[in-house]
Amino acid sequence: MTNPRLQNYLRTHRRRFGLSQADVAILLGAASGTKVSRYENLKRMPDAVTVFALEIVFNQPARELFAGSYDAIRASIQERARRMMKQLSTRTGQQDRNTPRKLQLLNAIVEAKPCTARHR
Amino acid sequence: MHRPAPLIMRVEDQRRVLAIDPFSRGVGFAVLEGDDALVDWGIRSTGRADNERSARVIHKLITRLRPDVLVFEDWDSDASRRCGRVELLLKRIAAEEGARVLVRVVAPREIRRIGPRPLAATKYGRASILAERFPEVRAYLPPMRKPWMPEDDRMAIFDALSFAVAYIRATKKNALLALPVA
Repeated sequence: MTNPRLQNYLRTHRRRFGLSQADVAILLGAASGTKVSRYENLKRMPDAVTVFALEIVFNQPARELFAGSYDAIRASIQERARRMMKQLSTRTGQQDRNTPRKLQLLNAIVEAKPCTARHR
Repeated sequence: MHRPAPLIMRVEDQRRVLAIDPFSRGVGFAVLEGDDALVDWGIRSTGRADNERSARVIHKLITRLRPDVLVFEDWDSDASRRCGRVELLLKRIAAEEGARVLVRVVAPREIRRIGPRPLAATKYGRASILAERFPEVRAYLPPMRKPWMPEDDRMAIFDALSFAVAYIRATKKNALLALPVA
């Protein structure tokens, strides 16, 4: 059993390009590197705009930059999809014409394999 | 005192490897994921040769990086030249952190095999090989040490990285040996 991926790989990518936290802050339009430090040290979760900005800065998909968070979110969504599938399947009398399509989507969510990409 | 196994006798598919190299003013570390993804590296200063501080630094690194394996030099090996203080520190780390993380030691003999001879026979040679293989640490490669110069602290990063690479190399080698015989 291996440990899950790190919650984020911002520090890895930043240092790979020789950038300081202040450099990244300038690119993000933030006042100082403190904000970047908080993201790296998991003290704060960036908003959607910042996530897209980081994706552009490091040219890496958000699911790779925030690998651990992505895995945790995916696991909880899969769990909810599993429950929803169960509910839909047991309601045999109340199924409407959208039910098969819903089940198809839920099945795809549940069956999705975890991402195994390395940070290279 | 608990002592980690020096030989890796089974297939170890470990995702994240944290290697540490304590030195007189701090601890050098490197984290590898998979075979060749360098996730983090650096030096944590302790100010002076202090096992208490070094142990705290290593504990923090393990908490933050959550490695599957903690690797360091085999202090018991004949070729190891670690001082008594570092030996005590490594023994302590193996005993304290052994419950949280798999601890492995690599012998200097294994470390010298990370590259072609005669380059990999010297510390600087190994550091050059690693700087070539991991361009992200190239900027940290200190100038070649002259006989009258003390060792640059940055060498601890390359030493730690060489432990991680040697460990991965050893597990891969044994993974091949461990293939079922037809």
